Amino acid sequence: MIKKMIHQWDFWVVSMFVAIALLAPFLSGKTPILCAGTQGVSIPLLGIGSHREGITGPCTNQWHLLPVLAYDARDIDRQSLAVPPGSPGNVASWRYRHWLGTDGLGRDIAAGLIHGTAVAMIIGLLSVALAFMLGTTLGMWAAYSRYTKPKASILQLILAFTGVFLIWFYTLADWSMTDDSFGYGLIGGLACFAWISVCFSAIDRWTGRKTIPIPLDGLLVKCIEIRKSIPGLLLLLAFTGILTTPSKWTLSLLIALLTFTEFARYSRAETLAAMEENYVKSLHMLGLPMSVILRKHILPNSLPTLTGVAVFSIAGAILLESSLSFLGIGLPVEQVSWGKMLAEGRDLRHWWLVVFPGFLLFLLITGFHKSAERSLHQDDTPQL
Amino acid sequence: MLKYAAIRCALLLPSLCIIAVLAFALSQAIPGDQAEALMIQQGISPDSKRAEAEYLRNYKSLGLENPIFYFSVSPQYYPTNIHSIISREERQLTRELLKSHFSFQKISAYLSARNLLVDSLPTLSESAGTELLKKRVFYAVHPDSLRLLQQQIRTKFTHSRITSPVADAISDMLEHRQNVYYPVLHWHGTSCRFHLWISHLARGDAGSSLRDGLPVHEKVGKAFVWTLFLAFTSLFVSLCISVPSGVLAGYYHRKAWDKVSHIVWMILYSMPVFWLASLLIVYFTSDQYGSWLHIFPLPGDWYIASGESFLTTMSNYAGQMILPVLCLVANDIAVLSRMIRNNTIAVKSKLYFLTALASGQSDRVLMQYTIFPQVLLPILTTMAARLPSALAGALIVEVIFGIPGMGRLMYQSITGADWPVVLGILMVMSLISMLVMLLTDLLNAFVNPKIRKALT
Repeated sequence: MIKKMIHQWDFWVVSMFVAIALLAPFLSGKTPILCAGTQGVSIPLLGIGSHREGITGPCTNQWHLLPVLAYDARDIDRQSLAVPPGSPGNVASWRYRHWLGTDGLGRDIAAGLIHGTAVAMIIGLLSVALAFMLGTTLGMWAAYSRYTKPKASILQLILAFTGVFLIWFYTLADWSMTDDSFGYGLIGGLACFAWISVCFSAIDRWTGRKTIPIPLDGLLVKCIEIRKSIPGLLLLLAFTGILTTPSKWTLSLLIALLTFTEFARYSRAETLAAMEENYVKSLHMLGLPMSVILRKHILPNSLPTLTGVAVFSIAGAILLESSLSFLGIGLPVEQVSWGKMLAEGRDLRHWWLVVFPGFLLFLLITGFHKSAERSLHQDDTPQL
Repeated sequence: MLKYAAIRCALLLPSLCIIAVLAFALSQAIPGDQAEALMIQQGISPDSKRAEAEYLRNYKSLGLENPIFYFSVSPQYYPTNIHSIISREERQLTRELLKSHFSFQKISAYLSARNLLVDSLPTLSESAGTELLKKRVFYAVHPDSLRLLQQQIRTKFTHSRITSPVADAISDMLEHRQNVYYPVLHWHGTSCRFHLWISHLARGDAGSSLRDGLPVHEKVGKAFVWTLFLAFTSLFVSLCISVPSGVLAGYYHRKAWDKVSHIVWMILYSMPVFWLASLLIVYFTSDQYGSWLHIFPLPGDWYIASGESFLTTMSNYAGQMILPVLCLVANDIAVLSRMIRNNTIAVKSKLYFLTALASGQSDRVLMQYTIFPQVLLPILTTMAARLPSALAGALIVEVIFGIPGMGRLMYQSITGADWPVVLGILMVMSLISMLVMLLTDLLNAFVNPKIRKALT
């Protein structure tokens, strides 16, 4: 598989972006990578070794290895504001040149691009990973519920609802002064999960005979329909209005919550298709539990499609984040991102602020789209 | 068929209700005080003398003294409706004090005693402890600081008619702390914010904007005209380009045009809308990179002058419209022409196509009469499915080019915390896309006998 991928340009594009994101601190910044001298060898960037004075600045009187670019994304060079690329600018030596120019505040564009790659990749990968897990689980479960036809007695439902309500009331709702709201939230969430599993598994045996079917599939379809009726960017805008300080973590969580319906839709469709196949039917008749059939048989078979959707969604999530930054709403001011550079370039009419980040974004999206297309392996069906 | 349509229409209602509840919850969850925001919009600074009276007036006119939803759940010592405390300071203090599990009755007793004390603070004789007392009276919320205040009053300010009730109220409050609490359901009936909003909305009144006081439906209506115009223009242009391109690419499958158009449309598809727009603006609307590049007018004032006909206005803006439409079209062309190409390939393998081919028709006739009608139908569904994303794409384009459409209005309203408008837009958008989805399903069923048969 790897041998095949080496000959594809999109593989190289995607891995280049991943490499830049991973190696961002090694590529640009002030902290030396390696210092060697009388005190021994140290790696200040990773906090290894006894090197003390040079943690933020260059090492003195020692042999050292510095990152390729002398600037960090946040460093402000007041001497050179809005320097176009190629011009020597007002710097001491070639090492401190701004190869791709600077923005209106004097921040280096090349460094900004490198750290912007890291931000984009983190948001893209994290949000898609979360959305994939949530959406695929829900979609497959809902589709398979056509076989299992989940039912619950009224007692079970009442118990589950009261339990969740009480857990919400005593842990999640903020009735008192607590500093550790995250801890309470975690405990509350786990307790809810545990209580629901207890309600629908252990209590199953001694509840009454009168049961009502739970339309899991119908609920999911309704949920997807509602989500699809409002544009994602609008919803994201509205949600960021609530968050006072959106960080890249909360932003990826938000994007994941808005995009998981896509995975639910595809995995549901794939599972429904697989359930028509004879192997799933026979597995079901053999009496294998749902979790095994879904995990060991249906998931591996629908993985090519889901991977394709996931790769598409990574590009989509990155695009969503940069649109948000471009509109000036997303990440905090000090966080450098491609979208913000573009917005500044548009305002100031500086071509280097528009061309470089935009081209990187374009390259990344093209690479991801191409590899998603390959993963889907459907040359003649609609795929754009 | 009619029965199916009726059922589908009826099913819209619950979805819309859920969206209404969610959108309303979203609007209530934003931090900040709506009455204060409105006050600042009216140009009254929070420090001025009129501020207090104006705040109260806004608070009542926005209906903020009502509870949020039909019911609420809170611990037993909570008030039924905390929003009915009109004074902002008192409401915030009550919220803070409730977090220390003081019961609401004792809190209100303490607050009335405290207000008396605050009113008569200037009359207190100046002594060493008065400054500290002032500070503590204003800022004490935590049980420990309340205890300190109480001690200070008991030791330094005894036998005073004004101070001793405060100390008594504090000790009363501290004695009756509710460390054990249980949920109580409060039923507020129809006098809640959600009910007021939704009942007004059902009557066609979506409230008025917090920014300029204009009715929401007027603002949204004005903006909607622009978005609709932009959407239809770009749809028309993209169909004009993508249908011929797609049919040709499919008809000459794996020939030169197929390959070239695939690459070109793929590049256009992967180009972020805002990058394309920024590039066009930077290079083509200013003299900075040579006057020969300054082809298009700078996107500027867009407004519909009263009395002018719609067509005249649009012809005035034709020059400014080119760049935005170009940005919107770039994405659509790729999707549509790819779809049409694939459909054309599918049609080419059908027997009726072979028959037409065998009868010796020319390429042009084959494309025009055999393929073209067949590929048009699936476009319908695609267009409907892409409507939400098209509206989102329009948002960025509208913001960049300053077109006063729905997207720009939404953007401005969110950044300006103008929640009545945001709610209005969200409802209109979801209603439109749901109606369009419904219409395409019905149209598909109406046009396609196979689907119609399956339904009945």
